[in-house]
Amino acid sequence: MTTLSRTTSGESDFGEAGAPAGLLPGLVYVARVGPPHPVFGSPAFEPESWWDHQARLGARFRGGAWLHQAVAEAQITGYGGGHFPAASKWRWALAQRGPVTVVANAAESEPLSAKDATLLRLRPHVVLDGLVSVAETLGAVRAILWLHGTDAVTHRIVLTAIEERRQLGLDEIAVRVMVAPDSYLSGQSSAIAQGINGAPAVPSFRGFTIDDAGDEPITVVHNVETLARVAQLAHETGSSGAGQAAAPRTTLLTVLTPIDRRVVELPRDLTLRQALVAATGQTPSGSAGVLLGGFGGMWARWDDIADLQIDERSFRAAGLSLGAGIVAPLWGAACGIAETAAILDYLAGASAGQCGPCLFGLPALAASVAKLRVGAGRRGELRRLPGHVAAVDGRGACHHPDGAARLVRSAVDTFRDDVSAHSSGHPCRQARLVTFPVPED
Amino acid sequence: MASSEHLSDARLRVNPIACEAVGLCSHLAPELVALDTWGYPVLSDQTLTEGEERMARRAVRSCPHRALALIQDGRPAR
Repeated sequence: MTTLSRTTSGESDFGEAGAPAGLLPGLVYVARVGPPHPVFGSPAFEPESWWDHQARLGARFRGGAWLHQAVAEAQITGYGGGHFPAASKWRWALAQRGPVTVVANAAESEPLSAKDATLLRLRPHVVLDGLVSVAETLGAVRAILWLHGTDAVTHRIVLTAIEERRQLGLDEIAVRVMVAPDSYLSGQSSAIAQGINGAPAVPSFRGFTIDDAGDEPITVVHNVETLARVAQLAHETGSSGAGQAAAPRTTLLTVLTPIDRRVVELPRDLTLRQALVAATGQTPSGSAGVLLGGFGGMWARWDDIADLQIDERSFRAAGLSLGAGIVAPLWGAACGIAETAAILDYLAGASAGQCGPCLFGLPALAASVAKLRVGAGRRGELRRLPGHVAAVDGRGACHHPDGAARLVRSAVDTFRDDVSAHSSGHPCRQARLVTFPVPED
Repeated sequence: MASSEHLSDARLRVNPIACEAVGLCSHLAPELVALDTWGYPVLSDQTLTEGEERMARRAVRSCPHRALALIQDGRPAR
């Protein structure tokens, strides 16, 4: 298969630093596990200084009602995986009485994802511009960057960028960096709301009071790519004057390959097939499973998704989601049930242990899938599985157990033939092997 | 029991963090609250008749961890 040159899409040239439409200067190769360390012959990317940033984009426009309107018109949604409309979050926050804190969420606790740290490492000022502009729009009293727990390199780059801005006296509001605990749920927005106020950063339950927070402090959490999109939009709308704000033309993806992860920015009207060719030079085989959205995401068959556009709307229309833009194909003859079992073990261990159904139900679900993996239990296990899924689905304070339930349901659908072979005592030959980089804990 | 014409749009909801699987709710409102393998409540999501709403209020008042609420229009009903 020939490699699609990144310029043949005709949309924009991603190789050129300075293309104003792009968030990233180009394709970034990232180590297979852990926080992003650009490796394997990447161009020598460096964090963009404020001077370069300003030369590329021009001055930042102060946030305000105009930005709220532009974000609503451009229909910017959350790039952390939830895809909730940003403007709706702002409308809610503006209707509350309590003091507002805006948080840039760079916890990126999903182990397969690398786009957020990559973005912060290469273009820290785009994210900071977005954060400050949102803080201005919402009249926030605090602006916080919530950073991945073990990523010292990004931490240093971000502190340097904030110091540049402080010395130049750019912002009225000082961005404060807080380091998240290194746990899967530390990027969950209610966990962040607790963490920034001095409580343990674990999810909280908000189901009894949804609409009106009274005088309580208000926390508005946005993924760092979302903030970068807001900054990009502010530059485009602010410099062109009035007119309809356009939706972002590109999206960031993290693609898992057998040797590394690749963070790539691509036009949203490319198909997933074109995107994988652009990012990796190859595509999986037709019946291969592809994990979308990471460990809290879902499986799909490559044949069914190859021709979808890499836009959340086209995936939603097919009943799927790209989550935080993660695409992890099974490249070889790997066993999807084995991968799912390993991921479930990880998800069960990542529970905050606050809710009974998650605390007890996830290990039971993981144990059930582990039996299926090795072909134990025969038909009985497959009969019990739906009960284990129902026991966790929708029953926690956060969506952690729901994600595990969805993962298992999608695995049973996607690997139907393997599931029936496993459950009649004939597991795949590869069932002992796990090819995904699932952290051990 | 009231006729089905008097349906309330209130729903029982549990705060799963506060819930400690005591199980009084299921004793007091067995038609609305089942218990899972570990003793945690599984709530009916159906609209409540007047009689069921009274039953639900009893269950809400009985919870020693205040983990249960009757939610109406997005907030706990008194």
